[in-house]
Amino acid sequence: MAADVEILSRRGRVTRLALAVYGTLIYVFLFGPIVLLVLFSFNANRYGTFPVTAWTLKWYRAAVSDYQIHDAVATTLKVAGEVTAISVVVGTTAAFPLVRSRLRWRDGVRVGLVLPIMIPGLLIGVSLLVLFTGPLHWQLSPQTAVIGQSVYTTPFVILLVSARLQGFDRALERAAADLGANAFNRLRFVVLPLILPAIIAGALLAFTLSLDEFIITYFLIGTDITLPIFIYTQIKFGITPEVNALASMLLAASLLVLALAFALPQVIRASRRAVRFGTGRRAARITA
Amino acid sequence: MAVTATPASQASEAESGRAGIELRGVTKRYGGNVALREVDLEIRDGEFFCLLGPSGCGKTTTLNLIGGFVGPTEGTIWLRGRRIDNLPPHKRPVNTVFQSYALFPHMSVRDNVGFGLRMDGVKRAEASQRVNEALALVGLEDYGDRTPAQLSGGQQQRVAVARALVKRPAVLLLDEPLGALDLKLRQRLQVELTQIHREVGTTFVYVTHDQEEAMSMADRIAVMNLGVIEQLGTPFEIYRRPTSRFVADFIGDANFFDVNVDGSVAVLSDGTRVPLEGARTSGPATLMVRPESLRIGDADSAPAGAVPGRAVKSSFLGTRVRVAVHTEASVVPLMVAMHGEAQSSVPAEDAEIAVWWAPEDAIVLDSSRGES
Amino acid sequence: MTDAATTVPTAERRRRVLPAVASYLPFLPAIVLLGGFFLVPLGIIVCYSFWEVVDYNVVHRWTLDNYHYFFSVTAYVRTMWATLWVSLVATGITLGLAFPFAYWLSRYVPRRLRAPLLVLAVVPFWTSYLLRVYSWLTILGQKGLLNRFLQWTGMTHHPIGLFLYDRSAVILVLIYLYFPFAALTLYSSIERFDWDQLRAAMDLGATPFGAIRRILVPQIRPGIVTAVIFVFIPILGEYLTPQIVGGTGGVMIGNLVVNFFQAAEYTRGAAVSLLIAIFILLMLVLFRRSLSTREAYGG
Repeated sequence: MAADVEILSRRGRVTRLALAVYGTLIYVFLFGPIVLLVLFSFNANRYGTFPVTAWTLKWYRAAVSDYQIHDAVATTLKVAGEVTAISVVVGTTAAFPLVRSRLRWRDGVRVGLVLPIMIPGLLIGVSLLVLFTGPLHWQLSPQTAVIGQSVYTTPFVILLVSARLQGFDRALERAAADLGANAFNRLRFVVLPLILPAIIAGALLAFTLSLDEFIITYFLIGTDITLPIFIYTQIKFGITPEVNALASMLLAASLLVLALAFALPQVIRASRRAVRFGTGRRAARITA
Repeated sequence: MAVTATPASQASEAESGRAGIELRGVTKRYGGNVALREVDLEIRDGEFFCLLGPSGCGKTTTLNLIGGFVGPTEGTIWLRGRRIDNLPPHKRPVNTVFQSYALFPHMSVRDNVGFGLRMDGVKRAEASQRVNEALALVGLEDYGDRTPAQLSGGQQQRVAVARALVKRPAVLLLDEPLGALDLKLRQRLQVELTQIHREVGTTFVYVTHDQEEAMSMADRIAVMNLGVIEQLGTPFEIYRRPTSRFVADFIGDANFFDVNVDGSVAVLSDGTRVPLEGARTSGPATLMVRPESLRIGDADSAPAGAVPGRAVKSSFLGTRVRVAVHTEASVVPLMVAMHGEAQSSVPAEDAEIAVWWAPEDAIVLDSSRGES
Repeated sequence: MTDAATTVPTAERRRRVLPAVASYLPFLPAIVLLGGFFLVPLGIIVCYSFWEVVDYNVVHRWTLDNYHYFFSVTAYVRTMWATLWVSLVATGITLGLAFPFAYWLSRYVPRRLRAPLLVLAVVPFWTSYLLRVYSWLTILGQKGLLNRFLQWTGMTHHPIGLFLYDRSAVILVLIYLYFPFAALTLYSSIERFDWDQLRAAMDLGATPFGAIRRILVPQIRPGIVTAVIFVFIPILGEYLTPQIVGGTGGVMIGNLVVNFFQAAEYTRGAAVSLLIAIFILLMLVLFRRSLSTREAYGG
């Protein structure tokens, strides 16, 4: 496409410039609100006057020392941890037959398994509310919220892991069998190490989705609160700089996990490569 | 070399003629498709055996049956007198070099080669020793710490061979192991593989669709087609004495004539009567003559039984000149290969000439079998 | 040997049947989770929407009352149409904005910058949904940043209606929320496009826009359809956005559902939920048809 650019006419150059300006505006649109949110969490004036006249960290201090927020963080992390564990186990095991067994309705089953992604969370939330409080007579608690969130996050793990399995060279397993590995060893030494990046990415994704999930949790968690629910209830009373500070921290946390999700598989690969390179160079020296 | 010791000694212990691998009446069906049809096959201990044929002929199925990746629909498979068709792959004393090599991308070369020993619970020190020997066998002593991605295609191929041989299998299966390599490298590795075979003495069962590869490496070749073994023999036998038109056509170049056999004479479709070696049963048949067995000369100086024809085109191919000759005896032009001194008498295009051959060079094929 | 031969069929059968069953076994946890806690509850919702409430108890008596009730209240029906309208408009504008962006990214941005820029555009999608809605709260509204900024600069003296907590604000925020997804989907189908085809079309006399419309768009139609579906469907079930920035005028059908359930009117809430589900189903059916026509055109 570089050659394409060379031969552009004047009008082509104008188009190119216009689109570049447009692209930039899009990024301003995408990040502007988030940046402002973070900016205002440092604004000394409680009523968020514009322009900002003084900067402060007091809202962060206030947020960090709020015991209600401590409880919410604890609940959020506990729920996210459980959701991640369930999603990874259920999603990874389901991905195997989805990709590998001779399924008659493979496409149908796949759609069925990822349907919870396509259905609005609101419907998952209310239908589970009805199930738990109606026929099952379960007490709403963080555990019921965990079930609800897992319904929504597991399909993401299934998608990620099955995509990785799809590209998996079955000859590797046959080779392992040929070399004497039984089914368990094939899984442990060949399959799992190779799909590990997808499992990790799935786990981190499930974790972030759970951290931020609002509507399903809102219906199912009962009297406990998670961070999104805390923020939501605060918003009802109006915008406060404490919430801005809390929101900024939550944003930073989910960006961090996201960065991990992107980076970790590559880090794993890179560290393997580093091992190779170090030792590879040693081998080269020996030959030299 | 320790790697070589076990199979070699076991091979020599085996009484001569005892089959290394034996397929008895093996049929393999996939749904309604028959991949293999009642195949009986004996592969001797220690030999370099080739399964040769076009794609879909059943050669890879045969290999997969021996390796245990598929089970026979009917029939049994035996290894040194022990039945193995009911064993899963990881319990068979057979190892495979896969077409794609199937090296584990997340393991070093050393871990790849040592994988089988680890699975067998071989002690670390011994395993390390054997891995070193296997790597030395394929000339990759210095590459143990690399990963497969850091190796060239030829090197990966050698790792695959080392990984399979380190377990000292009774039989090494090779599934088109050189298919992904370019011609020059392939030829070099053909030589290396035959050397390795000589060193370790293990039975090699080698699948290929490349007849030249099979001819240059194998002790014996089974030519397969449509799920059956068309012919089994040494490269010489298969080339010189093909038993079906398919084999004659698949191995090397061949000229075919539709003939009527009449005692010790074959009558070509243009009426020419050519002598045959020995008497045959009379009736329609196919006569096969290799291009290098054909002789060309002036029509008047030709011996009796020569086929009159016209030179259509001659092509210079380095070591030989190929002349295409149009005759009334065959629909497609005959291919004549002229080697060495004969090249000085290459006929001009459109020259009226005659083509003949020695009776012992003409093979009578049963025309009912192996039509393609 | 004869023994071995006779046991073959049984062994063979066992070898085929057992792995078949065993290979489905890993589905079990997923079936329990997604069957028991997704499909079954949806089924229950369907039942509830046709049951009636007597003395605050749900009675298993079949009735259409819940639906009658919904359609008898004008405000509800108007909200339903408004929801469809908002979904349609927001989806249309989102795709309209995302297409030139994806086009720019895949055609004019140097190759090595494409992946990072794409990730940058998609990252907001994976950060907190609630916070992204919340971030607009300070920006919109009569005393919001935008209006105050505009008044401060003197560009306007009265708050601009587009930026008040109203339906227009809901649409704006929805576009903001779903733009990354639409951009990603469109980009991944445009990326595979062979640009020589556009050049060929223009070589044969098509204008640049004509070439894009006649050559590019038909080939990336599956991507466009996917983007439409996956933007439209979640907007149908939107609750937070209208709740936070919608004010009184921006109410959507999702808010009705929540209101009913919070008022413990489960059967009525179930009926409205089912209406949303039916709209989604309709979308998916339409989607299927557009897929099959694509195949009919010999894709």
